[in-house]
Amino acid sequence: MDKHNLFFIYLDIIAPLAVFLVVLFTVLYRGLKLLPYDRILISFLLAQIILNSLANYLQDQRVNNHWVYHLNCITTQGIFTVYFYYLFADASKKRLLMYGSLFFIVFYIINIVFIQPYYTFASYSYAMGAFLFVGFSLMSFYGWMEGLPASNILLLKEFWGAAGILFYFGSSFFIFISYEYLSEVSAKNVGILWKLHNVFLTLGCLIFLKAIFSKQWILKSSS
Amino acid sequence: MIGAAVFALLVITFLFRFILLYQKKSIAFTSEKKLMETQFQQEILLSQLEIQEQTLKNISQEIHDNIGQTLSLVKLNLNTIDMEKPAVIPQKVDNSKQLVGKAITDLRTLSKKLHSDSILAAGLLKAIEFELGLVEKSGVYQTSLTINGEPVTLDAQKELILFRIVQEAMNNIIKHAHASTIAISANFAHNHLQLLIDDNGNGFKLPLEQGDINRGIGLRSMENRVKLLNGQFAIETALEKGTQIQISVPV
Repeated sequence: MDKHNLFFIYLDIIAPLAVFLVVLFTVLYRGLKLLPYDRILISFLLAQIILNSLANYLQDQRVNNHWVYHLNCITTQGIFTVYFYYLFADASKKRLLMYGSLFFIVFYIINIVFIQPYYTFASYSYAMGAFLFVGFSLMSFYGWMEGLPASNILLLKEFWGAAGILFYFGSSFFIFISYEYLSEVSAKNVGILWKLHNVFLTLGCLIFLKAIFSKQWILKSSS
Repeated sequence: MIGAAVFALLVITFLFRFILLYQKKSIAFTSEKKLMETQFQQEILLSQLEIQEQTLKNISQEIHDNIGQTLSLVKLNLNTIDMEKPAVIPQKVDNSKQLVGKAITDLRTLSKKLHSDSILAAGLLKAIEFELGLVEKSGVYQTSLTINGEPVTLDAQKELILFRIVQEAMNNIIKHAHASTIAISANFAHNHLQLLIDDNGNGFKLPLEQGDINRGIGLRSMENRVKLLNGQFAIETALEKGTQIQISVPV
């Protein structure tokens, strides 16, 4: 396997690791103060580093690693549910988030028990999770558009957080939804799709880095 | 691959579009806010001028009706002193001294009203009380001020505008209502101040008719000022049943 291919395969570890190291360096040497939003994004980075490293290691050992992706899927869902729980001020939005999460858990269990067992890739669960997060991000954007505008949204932490979530999950939704079909057609397709997924993850991580480095945040009432 | 790229492009396009729309809204909001601030400042200046004008009118009336009369009496007293009847002189001098003392007290009271800052120095409620006192002095009106709840001191600019609204309402009563009582109540509750200005005059029909231009301008000016304070303005009136002006502003 050439270096170019290797880079893209391991990009799902390299990107979150690089972003995490930049944040760590800034916290240690530049005194960056972390807010709850930042800690949640960092926990996503850490989850990706650990779980993707494990998945890649198992793959290298030629051991089935799909159960790691099942675990990654539910972990990511939990992390971003907490993120949106912090972000939404409105009780009705929080309730919707809780119903969405409950629905996801039921869907996840049904999927792993009846449709995509732990030894197959959890593409449907990923797709459902991505769908929900795109919805919640759009709710945040709608809330900001409806509320009193901040002077410059590009300076706001929550905007970049929600933008990162929307970008990563919105872009990857097609990959997750078509994964099952494309993997049946050709294994090569899966390889290409996963590399593309890693590119989206990288861009998502970079947007999260921007979120962590943003200093302003909006009043909760506007989201 | 193409499908995934199209999805990513869609998301990016959405984000750019959102940023553009949001920034546009933000710019519009900022200019609207600036405009409102300017209007607010202009309204304050106008209120100050109107209060001064009203104050000068009151003072002129007071000098003419009260101090002028008192001093005329003093003059009359002194003119009628008959040097040939020395027994009456001390009484006349005493009377004159008392009258001059009263004129001095009245002048002091008036001097306090010479600029609008001092009117509100003791707060809105005191200023309203003082204004009602002046109106009552005319002998035409019975006035009252009732305060409910724990009074809260408002921002000085807000108090100035509110005071001007009360003055305007009282002017309307004096000019148009043919009332004999003016009752103001200030209710402090739920982070709001509600001012109710009641009179027992002849009331009027709503909506206003063509001939009521002056009253209409006055009411619109009051309503606009209340809006500037993020408050609510309402009128309850009917022919021969008096009028109640209701003002509610956040404190």
